Amino acid sequence: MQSGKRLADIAAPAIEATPVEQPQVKKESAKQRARIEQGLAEVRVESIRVDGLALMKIIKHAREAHQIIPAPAGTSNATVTFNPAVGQLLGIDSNGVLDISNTFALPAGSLGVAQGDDSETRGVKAASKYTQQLLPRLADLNADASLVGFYTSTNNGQHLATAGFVDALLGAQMSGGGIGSGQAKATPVGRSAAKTPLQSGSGSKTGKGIALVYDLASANQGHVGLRAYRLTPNFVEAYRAGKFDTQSLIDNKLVPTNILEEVPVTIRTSPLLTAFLSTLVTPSSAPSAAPAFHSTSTLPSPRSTPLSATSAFDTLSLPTSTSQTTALPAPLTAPLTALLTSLDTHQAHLSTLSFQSRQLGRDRARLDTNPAVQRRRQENEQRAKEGLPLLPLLPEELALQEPSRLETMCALSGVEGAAKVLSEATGAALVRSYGSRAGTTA
Amino acid sequence: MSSLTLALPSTSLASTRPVSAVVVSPLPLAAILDHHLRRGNDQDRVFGTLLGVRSEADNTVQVRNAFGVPYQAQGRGEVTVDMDHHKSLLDLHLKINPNEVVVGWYATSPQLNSFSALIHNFYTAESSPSPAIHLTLDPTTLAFTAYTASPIGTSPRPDHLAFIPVDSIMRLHEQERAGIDLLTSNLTSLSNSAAASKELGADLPVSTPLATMYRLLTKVSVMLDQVLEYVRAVAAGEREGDERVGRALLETVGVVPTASQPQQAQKKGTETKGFEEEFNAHLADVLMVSYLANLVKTQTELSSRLNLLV
Repeated sequence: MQSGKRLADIAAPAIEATPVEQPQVKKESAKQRARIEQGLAEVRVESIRVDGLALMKIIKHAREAHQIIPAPAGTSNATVTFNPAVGQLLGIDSNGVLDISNTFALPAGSLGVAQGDDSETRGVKAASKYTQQLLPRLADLNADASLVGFYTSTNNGQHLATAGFVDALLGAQMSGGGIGSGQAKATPVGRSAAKTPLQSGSGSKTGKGIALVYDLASANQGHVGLRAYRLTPNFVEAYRAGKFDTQSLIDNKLVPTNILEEVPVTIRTSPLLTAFLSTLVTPSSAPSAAPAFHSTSTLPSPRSTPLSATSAFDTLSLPTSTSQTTALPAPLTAPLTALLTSLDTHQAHLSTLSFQSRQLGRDRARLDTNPAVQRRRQENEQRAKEGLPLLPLLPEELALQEPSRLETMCALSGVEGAAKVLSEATGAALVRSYGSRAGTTA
Repeated sequence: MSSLTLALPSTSLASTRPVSAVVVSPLPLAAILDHHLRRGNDQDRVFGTLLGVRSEADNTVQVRNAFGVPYQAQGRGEVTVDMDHHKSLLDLHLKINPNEVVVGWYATSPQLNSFSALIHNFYTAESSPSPAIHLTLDPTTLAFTAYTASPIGTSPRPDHLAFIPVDSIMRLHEQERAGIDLLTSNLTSLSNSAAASKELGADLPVSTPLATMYRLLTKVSVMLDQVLEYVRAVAAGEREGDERVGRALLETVGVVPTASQPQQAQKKGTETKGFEEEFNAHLADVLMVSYLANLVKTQTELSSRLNLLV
């Protein structure tokens, strides 16, 4: 590519090209700036349209790569961690609709699941390196090659409780791209004390850089649990300030339910793919023949066998019925276990938090007896009376910070997600059980 | 009595046995069609690499993924293939999923030509020691066919290959079923009229559990109507009955549990009671879990609000 450009530079008469090109570029950037200044409403992404191919890729990757690392024997459920499938979304946005035409998977651990800040950046770095290697290859195939976000898998609504998810989404949102594309701007602040103010790129204005979350548990219930999320401005504000103590939560009115805002998702397939899929499910025999008891028939090619339709109705059967050979639909125990696990996790985070608060209280009490601090306080009171500017606090006092509530909040959101999935599952289970009754009494 | 000793030839290793069937999942086919749509203006076909898993036990090849490889046709009889592209994409792919290896290649044209043989030779080297397969997907009829190839002729030459069709099966993983069901939900004649009246290619909303269940129940209802109509027509003598259909219906009706039919209810009162009790116990369990879920949800909301007050 590079050599090609250089050759083109040599070959093309540069004098002619430059005066025409430059004003255009300037005008466009000025227009863009004006548009951004005008407000967010015009270009903000309001809905997401996912291509059928992208959906299939996400489901396949999630199915293969999502791992639940069980708690080591003898410990509580709180140590269960997830290793989600992560990948980048490619597409384009126009008129407030974000079209996701393709996706590709990233190596495991790209969300920075491994412990420690060091390995976290390595995971993100590896992801961005991988992306840089893959993107030109996709461009060679005339595919969309602009990153618009990332996808990840979860089980029973635990996405916010997944380590690294918030950081990755923030990075994506700031840059309007995928994982690792906003690395320079988005330094993780939550845990480390470094307070680098985040610069908002153009991405935060257009609302690009979204996270698609696919819930694996949904397939067991027979539907597609694909949701798109974006961080709310309040949360970004709090994150930029770099602290999640009680005061900051109150200021930004943050609760676990409003960390993320959901963006509506629709699915669309290209006409060619639609035609192909219809060969799989529609009877090709003449309509005058025997009625179609199965929604499938043979493909034009005699050697290919189409999909069988019967297992699609598994969702309607009772989970306990023994005649079913497949695992569909999953009984209620799976979401119930997930809920209990998330409760345990939340409990663990909560006890850490209360330990930290107690520690803070002890440190404060110790400071009160410190003569230097007392002297500075008296001095400040005196100065306040005289109307003089206050002296800065002593480093000892500054070092005391309220513990971050981010983890607890994310864990609580995990609990909420699990409870939501469970209540959805029970709703379906109620319908199923009444259905079985109707089947026997009619 | 003289005995005859038979021994399998040493070449009957798994790698040299012929491929018995090719199992294709919908994803690679969708990727192939997408690639075909994105081809250059001057190209009538595209080709690329198929990735998948070989099963040693029954000699099947599972095609699970695919990516395209660009090429340039230069005049007649010469094609430049970007094998660098293939190599680097393969390397990147193996980082994600080391289990999926090169199993062959695809082309979006039903016709095989002499280039097919040359390309096939390359992929045979890539997938050695196992033989490579070739999958063609016709973009007009949308039928796909799988081939294996073997050299013919007394003196082996790279462009002399005989392509032999192999059985190909479409198979879907349980977890992927929901996605395909969603994509095909308004394509079948069995879907309800509201969905069918929507024009094809319209955006589909992401399904929820209850919506999915509603859709399935509507499907079942439509199917029952069709069966009833058929039975009525046969009973009235309007059309000739099919034995196979009759047997299938008899079997289906036999499967339906008859625990509490009105006549039996009087004879076997205990059994009916048993079912009712079972049902009520099950219902109580489900409601209990539902109550728990809602309780936890409320508590979560409460605790998060309290956090802001304290």
